[in-house]
Amino acid sequence: MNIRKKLILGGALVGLLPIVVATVTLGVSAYSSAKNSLAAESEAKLTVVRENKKAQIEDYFTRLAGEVSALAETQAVIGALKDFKTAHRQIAAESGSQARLEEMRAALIKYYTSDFVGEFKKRNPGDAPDMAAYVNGLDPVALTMQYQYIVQNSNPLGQKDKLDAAGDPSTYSKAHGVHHPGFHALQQKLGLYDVFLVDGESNRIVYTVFKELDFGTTFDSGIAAKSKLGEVVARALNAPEGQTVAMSDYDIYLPSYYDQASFLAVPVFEGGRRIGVLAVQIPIDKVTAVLTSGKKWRDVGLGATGESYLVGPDFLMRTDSRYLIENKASYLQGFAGWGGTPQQLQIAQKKNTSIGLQKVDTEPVRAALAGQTGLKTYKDYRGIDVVGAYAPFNVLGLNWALVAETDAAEVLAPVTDLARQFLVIGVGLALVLLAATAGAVVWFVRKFMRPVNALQDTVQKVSRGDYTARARVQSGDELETLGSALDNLLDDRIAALAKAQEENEKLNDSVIQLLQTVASLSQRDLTARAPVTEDIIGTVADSVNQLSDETGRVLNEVTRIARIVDHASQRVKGQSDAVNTMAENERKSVGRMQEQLEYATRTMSQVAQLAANTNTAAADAAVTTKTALQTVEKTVRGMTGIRDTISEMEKRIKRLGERSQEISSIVGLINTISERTHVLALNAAMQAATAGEAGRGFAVVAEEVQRLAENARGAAMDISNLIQNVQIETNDAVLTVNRIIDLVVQGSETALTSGEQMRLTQETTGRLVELVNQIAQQAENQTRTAEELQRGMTDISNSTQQTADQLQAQSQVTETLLTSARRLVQSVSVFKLPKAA
Amino acid sequence: MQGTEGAVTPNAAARSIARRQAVRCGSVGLLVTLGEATELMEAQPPARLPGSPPWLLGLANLHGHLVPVFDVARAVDETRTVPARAHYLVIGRGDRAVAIVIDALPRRWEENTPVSADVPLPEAFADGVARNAYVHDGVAWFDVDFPRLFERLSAPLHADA
Repeated sequence: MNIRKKLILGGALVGLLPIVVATVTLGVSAYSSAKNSLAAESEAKLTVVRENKKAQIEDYFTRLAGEVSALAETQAVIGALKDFKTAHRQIAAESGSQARLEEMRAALIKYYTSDFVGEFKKRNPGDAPDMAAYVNGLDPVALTMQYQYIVQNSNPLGQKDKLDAAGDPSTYSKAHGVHHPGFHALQQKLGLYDVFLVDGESNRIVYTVFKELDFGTTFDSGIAAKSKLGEVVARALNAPEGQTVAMSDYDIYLPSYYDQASFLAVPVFEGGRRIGVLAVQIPIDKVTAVLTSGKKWRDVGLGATGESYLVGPDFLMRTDSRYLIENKASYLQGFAGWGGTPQQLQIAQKKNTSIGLQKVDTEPVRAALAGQTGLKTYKDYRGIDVVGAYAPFNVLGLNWALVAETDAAEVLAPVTDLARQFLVIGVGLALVLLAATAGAVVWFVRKFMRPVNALQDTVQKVSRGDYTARARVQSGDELETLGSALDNLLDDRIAALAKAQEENEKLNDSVIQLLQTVASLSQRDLTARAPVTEDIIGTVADSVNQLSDETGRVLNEVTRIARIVDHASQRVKGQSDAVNTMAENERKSVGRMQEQLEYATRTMSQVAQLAANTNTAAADAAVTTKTALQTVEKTVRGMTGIRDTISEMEKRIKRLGERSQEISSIVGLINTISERTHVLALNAAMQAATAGEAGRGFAVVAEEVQRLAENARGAAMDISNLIQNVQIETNDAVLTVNRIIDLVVQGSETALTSGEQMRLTQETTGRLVELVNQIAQQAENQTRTAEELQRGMTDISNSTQQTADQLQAQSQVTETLLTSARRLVQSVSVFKLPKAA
Repeated sequence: MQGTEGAVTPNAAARSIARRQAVRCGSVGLLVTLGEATELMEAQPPARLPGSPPWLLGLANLHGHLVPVFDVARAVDETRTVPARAHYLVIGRGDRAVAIVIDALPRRWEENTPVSADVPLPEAFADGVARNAYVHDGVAWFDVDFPRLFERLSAPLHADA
């Protein structure tokens, strides 16, 4: 950085520093004051919103509880409940046969699984529960009531409340026709979702306005048994006197298609006796409308980002989020990142609500659920910094948290704008002052730097060769004195420089002439001579002339000798080439012989190996043949034994046939005896029959003898048949044995022939082994001889190769010698030499 | 078999058939009570009577009495031949004794199974000769009135006389 820039920068800093310090101090002080003021105003707004919403909701719930309690004491409700209690008990008797009940059940299953499930799927992701199971669990009373007022109700789904009475002549329909118009008007006037009457004895819902699937069911096993409705009804039925109102938190309710539902129930008394319960289903949209300010958040001071909502003890919202209402797509996009599961996301998308789905586990919600009221800045359920006011909401047994909050960025937006204004004004002012200060500093510096610049220019011109340049400063101060001294110094030094330059010119001319002579010598002109002057260069020129004369003489002699060497080398080269050609031819011949010998050796070796393998195989064949011969001999011996055994068997079978023949004779005798006995017995029986009553005893004996004779004949006949079969089979066996003997004899003869052939084969194989062994030995001898020949040929080849290599080397040396001689003559011939003496 | 399409109602002539003997005469079976049959003897060559019908084999000597020998089976089947080991079963006694040729020894008739369908009657057994009929082992067995049967079989002789 030069002196000028340093002066300008220093001046600017000195001028601006106080201005910047003053501006920043003022800005920070004003920003802090404004921020505190605006934050206090915003917190006050949120507190007001929180208290307003809390008061409105408390008022709504307490007013509703009061109205329902008052209704429960009216004669209209008491009378209606009594009529429905009486009427529904008669339904079982009026419902008809079992077949009729099954018809109604089938119709209800169709309604549940088509109409109800169709609407359910419109409002919910995934599959509906097994609705047929609920129908199968309905008792005859519920079955009849739902059939008459849901299936037979011609009004479409969602408008079943428009039927005043079913067309059947039942007692229940008469009571329904009387009381339904009044309850319907009451439900419409109070803006309730539904109204229920519950019989305290049967624990059954005996009346509803809207005729959803809880109509007619009991809390012991029906569809509403484990619901929040069942819970508040049980509390109303069992609560001690004085605690008359029971209210439930929100929860999904299947008859309302799993929408969120909250119930309020009060007991109904008659003459001091609790006869049942009046319950209502509270509409969710009323509470949501209060908390969302009818979608007019700006009008109630919640600005562009503020909202108020209720949170249950499960940290899930009880009212809708402003962000869902204002921008559903954006809200659903961020839902998963705000603690929502994929299933909750699908439900929120289908039902268009965040009630019971949006998780709000924040510090103020925990504090409010613990009973604390306050105001603070924190990260809300979206993870964004907000300013919020919170308070507990404890009405009718509920334990909820009420929160009113606004994004911190929106609260502090005016403060940010103010800070931005301060920054703009401060920077503008600083820039103006900076420009003025800079102008003054530049004028001063330019006036101060003018003589300094003149000195600098003079020195730069002289350094570039302009020896006439001078400063000639006239500032009247120390810089003018400095300029005069510089001009005098330049005059003295330039005069001395001109004298030295003239002497140098003369010496240069002598050196140039000497250099020209040396240049001629370097161009191989040894006839060139340098002029000898009187100065010191003249001595050097004389010496150069002597050197060139001597060199010329030596080179003439060298040229003569080189030509002699060239002639001799050419002759040696010719002889060497001839020898090389002969050696190459010899080497090729030896190579071919070696290859042929290698092939012969390999072939001989293979023959030897084949002979050895053949020898081994022949030996194996001899052993195998010997073993086969032994086996055949054993076979012959075995077959001879078999033939003897079978011959013995044949004899025994023949003896068996002879014995059976003897048995046949005996059986024939027995048959004859039994036949005669039979005739005798029959004659005796006939005589006894002729004797009449006197022969009756004898007739019995005769009959028994006849029976024995018949049996004996039958047995003899069976034996005779068996013996005949034995004889037939014996004859067959003898024939078979004879055939076997023939086969064995043939097999023995064949085996004997095979044995003889084997013996001949064994002898032939032995001779073959001996011959092959001789061949193998001869082949091995020839292989060894071939290998020795190959080794000798390899030695010859190596010697030939070495000779060729030596001749090649000699040829190369001769070539080199010839080349060198020629190059020597060529080298010397380039010199221009003086004539030789 | 020669015969007519007659019928015997099984239950019409139901009676005790206990102690009856079943005898085979060729393709015909006859049921005989022990009171009707009086003797069983091995067959002996009878003395032929010229001009007699083929089912009358001749006269045989029975303890000094001459008794006619009938082959009932021949009356039903003309192609029938008497087997080698035949027996005579004598029906009746004294001068009224008649022998019939049987192919095998009599067997006790214990089955009591009347047929439920009609049984075709041979002509020789028509007109009340057969009192009842049964089927057993594929053979028709007839309970016949022997005096009427013999009367019918000997009718050609009376006609010639």
